Amino acid sequence: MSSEVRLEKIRKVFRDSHTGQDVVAVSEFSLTIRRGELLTLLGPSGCGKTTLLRMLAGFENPTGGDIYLDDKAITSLPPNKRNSAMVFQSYALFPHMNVLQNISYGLKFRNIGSSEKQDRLDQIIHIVGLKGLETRRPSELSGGQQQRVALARALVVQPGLLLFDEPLSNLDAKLRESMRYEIRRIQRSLNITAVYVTHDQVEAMSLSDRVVVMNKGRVEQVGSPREIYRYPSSRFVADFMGISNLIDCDLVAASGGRATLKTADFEIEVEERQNIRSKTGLCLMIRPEDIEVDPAGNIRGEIIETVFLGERFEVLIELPNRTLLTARLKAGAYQQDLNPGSKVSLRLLSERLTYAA
Amino acid sequence: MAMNRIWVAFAFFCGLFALSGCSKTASSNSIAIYTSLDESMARLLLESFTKETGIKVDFVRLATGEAAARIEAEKNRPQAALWLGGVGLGHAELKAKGLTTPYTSEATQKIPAALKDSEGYWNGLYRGILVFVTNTKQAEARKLTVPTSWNDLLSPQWKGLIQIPNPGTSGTSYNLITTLIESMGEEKAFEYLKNLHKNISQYTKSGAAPTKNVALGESALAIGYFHDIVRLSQESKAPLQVSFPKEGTGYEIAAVSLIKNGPKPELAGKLIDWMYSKTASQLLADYYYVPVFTEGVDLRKEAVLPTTLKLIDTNIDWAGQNKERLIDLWNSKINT
Amino acid sequence: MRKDKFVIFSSVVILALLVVFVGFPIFSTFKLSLSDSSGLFSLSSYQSLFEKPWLRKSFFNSLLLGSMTASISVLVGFVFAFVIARTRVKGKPFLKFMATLPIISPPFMLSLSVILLFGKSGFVTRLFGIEDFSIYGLPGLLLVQTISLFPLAYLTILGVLQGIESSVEDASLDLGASRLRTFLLITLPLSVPGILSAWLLVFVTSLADFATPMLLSGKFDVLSVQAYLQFTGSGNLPLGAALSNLLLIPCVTAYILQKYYVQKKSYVTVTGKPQKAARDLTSRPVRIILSAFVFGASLFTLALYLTCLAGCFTKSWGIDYTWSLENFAYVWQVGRQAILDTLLISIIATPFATMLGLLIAFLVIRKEFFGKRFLDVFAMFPFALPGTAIGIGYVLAFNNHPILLTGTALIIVLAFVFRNMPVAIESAKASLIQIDKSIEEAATNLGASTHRVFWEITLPMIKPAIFTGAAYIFVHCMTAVSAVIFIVSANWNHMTVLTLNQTEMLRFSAAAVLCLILILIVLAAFGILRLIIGKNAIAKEIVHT
Repeated sequence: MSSEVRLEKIRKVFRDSHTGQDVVAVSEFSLTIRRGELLTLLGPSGCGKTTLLRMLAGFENPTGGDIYLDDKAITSLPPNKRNSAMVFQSYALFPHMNVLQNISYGLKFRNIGSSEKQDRLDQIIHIVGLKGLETRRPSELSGGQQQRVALARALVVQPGLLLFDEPLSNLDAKLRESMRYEIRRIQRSLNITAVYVTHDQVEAMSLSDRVVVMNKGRVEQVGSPREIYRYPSSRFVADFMGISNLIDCDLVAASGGRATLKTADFEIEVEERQNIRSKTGLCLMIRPEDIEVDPAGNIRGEIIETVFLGERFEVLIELPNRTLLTARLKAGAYQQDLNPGSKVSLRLLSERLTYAA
Repeated sequence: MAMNRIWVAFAFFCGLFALSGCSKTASSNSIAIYTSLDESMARLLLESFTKETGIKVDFVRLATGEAAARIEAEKNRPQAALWLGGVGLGHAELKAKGLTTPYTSEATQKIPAALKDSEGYWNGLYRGILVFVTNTKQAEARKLTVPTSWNDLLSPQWKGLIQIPNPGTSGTSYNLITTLIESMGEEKAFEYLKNLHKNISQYTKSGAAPTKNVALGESALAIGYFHDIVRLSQESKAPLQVSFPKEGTGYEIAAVSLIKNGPKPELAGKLIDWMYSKTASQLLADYYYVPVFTEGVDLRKEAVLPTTLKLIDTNIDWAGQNKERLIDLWNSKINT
Repeated sequence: MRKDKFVIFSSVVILALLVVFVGFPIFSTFKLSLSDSSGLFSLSSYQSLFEKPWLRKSFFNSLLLGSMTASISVLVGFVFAFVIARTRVKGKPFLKFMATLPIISPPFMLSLSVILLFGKSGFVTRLFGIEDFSIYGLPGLLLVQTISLFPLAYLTILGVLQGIESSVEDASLDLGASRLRTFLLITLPLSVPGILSAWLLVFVTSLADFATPMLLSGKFDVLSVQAYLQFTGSGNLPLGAALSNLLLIPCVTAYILQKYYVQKKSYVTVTGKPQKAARDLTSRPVRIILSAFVFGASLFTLALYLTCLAGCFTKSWGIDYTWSLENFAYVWQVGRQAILDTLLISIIATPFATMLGLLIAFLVIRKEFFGKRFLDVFAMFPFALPGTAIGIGYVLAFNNHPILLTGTALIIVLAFVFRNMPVAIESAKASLIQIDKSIEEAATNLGASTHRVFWEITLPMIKPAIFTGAAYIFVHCMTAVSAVIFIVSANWNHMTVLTLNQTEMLRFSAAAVLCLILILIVLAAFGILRLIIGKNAIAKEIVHT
């Protein structure tokens, strides 16, 4: 049965043994993870996502706050007494046991009859696609196969909470894509609550029900992948999500749900963000693909650099007041000469733009 | 550059390496010897020799068996000039193996026939008499009586309290066996040894160890050489008492041999001659030995043997020929 | 492939050296054991081995002692390694130091201390008035050998424990196993190759051990001493040779098992990546018990060392306990030459052993040539041999023309070089494996010849391994006894042999002084090593050697 997880004012502080200073790994925050949800902790290395995950697993003790699993406080419970299971980054397969023994390991510590054990094993091996490999040792398996064993091992104990510690980072790109899909499929079909840690935003986008973006121990934003992508709440989040154009701007007018923003080189009208109070020092976020070349466009600039990437060009454009824009332009869509030195007129797809404080 | 420094170092070490192949006592006025005498005795004697003659002596102290083995191993390139001390039997064995050279001189001519090899291959230095030594403190504590007969040693009161050397490695101990055989015949002798085994705590590797152990209280009773025991008793404050078996006892003749093809035999000869000088004899006497020549020498009164003591002679040649057989026999019958 | 002149030249030269200085002595020993006293072919020595019960007994005694020592040492070593690698016990630096100190100690030191304390006239024996107990024989041998050899087990097992991926134990806990079950189901099984390895290592070393039984065996005859006694004491050279060969068999067998079978089963991957600190698998009561054990053992060992130290300053241990410095004067007088001889010989032998070992490791790991595998095995072979076999072999091989070396320093130097070369080979191999080959390939690509690559590229990169290997070789040379005792002479003596002599003459205090001097020299050597390569490098390297 999958669990609901509640983090209340959770906090983790380390003492650095070299400098003697306190390092805040996770600053205080609260969150409820819904039953059956796949929540991703996303952020660069050192942001605290792994620490948070390990607190959920029981490998780290929070400095402050509580963790509840289905309303039961598990904050100080050791890892072997929690109803959670983790898929480790290095897979951590037991080298002296074969695939079947690895997978069935956790079942030893639960009161399960042998027929049910067999059923679960058969089922899980089928689900992850490891049939026929039961007697192999980990050293005889490929990376992807090892991954699946690690996954099966965690799933077979039917934990209330499933934890993933960057499980795909050791695989090559192609494999990563297919495994990503597998993990999501299996999680959905079993409806297990899962927390997933990664630094890859594409992974986060494609897997999650919700994403928690973290930076230096602080939670920057919590939301669905769509929300985060469409409405990043800060420069950091936007930057992390690959929105490469972050332009300083001020709010000059706002009415009827529309806001007018003024930058050094142009003015533009976008959807108003209700929760932003300040009028100055704002940041306009323009995705590279939301810029188009339009002879009728009101933004003029000069191309500095062009990179041909096959189905598109990546173009660096300088505006009169030194603002730089990176645009992604479809190849063959323009008659316009896109070489460095050419002058262009641009139009921004304003309905897709947003801003933050 | 680092390379050059490495080559220089390398050459230096190669030089040292090559040097190590050379002989040490290249200087003209020194010799190297093996000695089985007690170390401090040897030191005293040789320093005195150096003082008188100016000849430096490098010595290595080895037990009789070890010295013999070393000399045999080095036979194609002897490192030592002579072997000083050590049981006469050992010297006889080396003679038989052709490892020693006869030495006669004015000094050795005067040595009585019983105390030297008839052909001059070895010359005796002193007699060592086999006696019992008891730790009186231990004896008192355990209510033991000091033995006066070989049979006393078989009494169960001595169980685990006696130490003698291993006859395989110690000339002293082999001497004991030959003495017993001479005294009661081979069969009875081995029966005796078998019974004695019950009372033995340890067969030590070196001949002198049992005596020292008794002095330390590590053991209550040992069989050893009279002069060693007396000296130990006088010098240390150990509670020791010597006693003699009334049936009579055996003895060894400590000897000196010139090693065949050894370096600097002339200097070695000088040392041999000097061993019979007044100085040397007095030094030996001071150490509780009874040297070959006692004229004009002050003997220690404690070192003088009781006149009632019966000495059992052993035929050295016979002892030499039967050594392997007897040791084997001892090992198989007793040391199991 | 282009013929690499350097490789061919050095491999041929090295092979020749090995044949002469490793193969020939062993061959000579075999030849002698198959002859009787007049030099004719005879199986009489081997016959004696089988027929004479006391010789059979010493063989079985050796095996018994070896097995018992190995088993106990592995247990003690495992506890130490576990405490260091898997618990939060405080005072680890002290424990680590005590667990490695016996490795560099002089061979007679611990036996001496045990006699000083527990002998018939020992301090403790007298203090408690203990009668009817003798430390000589199996009890004393077990005690001293265990303390001397458990560091081997400790280091081996520590390496294995540290090599186990820590997340594996985390995974076990995560899946619901208790700490105890994690230990039993995961940690222990993964350590088994290391445990077996350690057992075999200690077993071989115990069999070859000569120093401890010389002092403490009492009536418990062991083969290493018997071989010596027959060879030197009884003058029965063929029998001594045969006994030495007999000793060889279990030693070489265990060595082969360890190297070619057990090591292959290792679950540890040498990646060189830093490991996350492992989880503490113990609960408080367990930790207290384990701490008590390791600290107790360490303090006992320390007490033994201090006893030896105390022995230096007493007039005559067992008889006269007054404070005195006369033993120092005595040792200076009697032993000065031997101390200098030992130092000189060790200092000469060490660089040669190190460089040769390094060259061999380089050739074996980085180059391909005809006879490579053979060279590799042959060069490592002396490692498997007990010192006794080497000593006897060298005496027999080199006391005749064409190569006449007995009585010189050269014979001792050579014995040291070829005996200890494997240490440098192992150390260099382990280090070379971790270095990316492409660095050397880059140099070759730019035009450097093989020997320049070796000197200018490879060498500097494995400096820590070289120096650590050299330090260990130096220690082995300074503390060797079982080989050396056959090849010292009137001109060249060795400190350890002198120590043995003093002990046999029951001059315990003098022997203690010699031990003290020896251990100070060894510690100084390690101090210098630390200065050259720094603290952390040593910790890593010690595991490899």
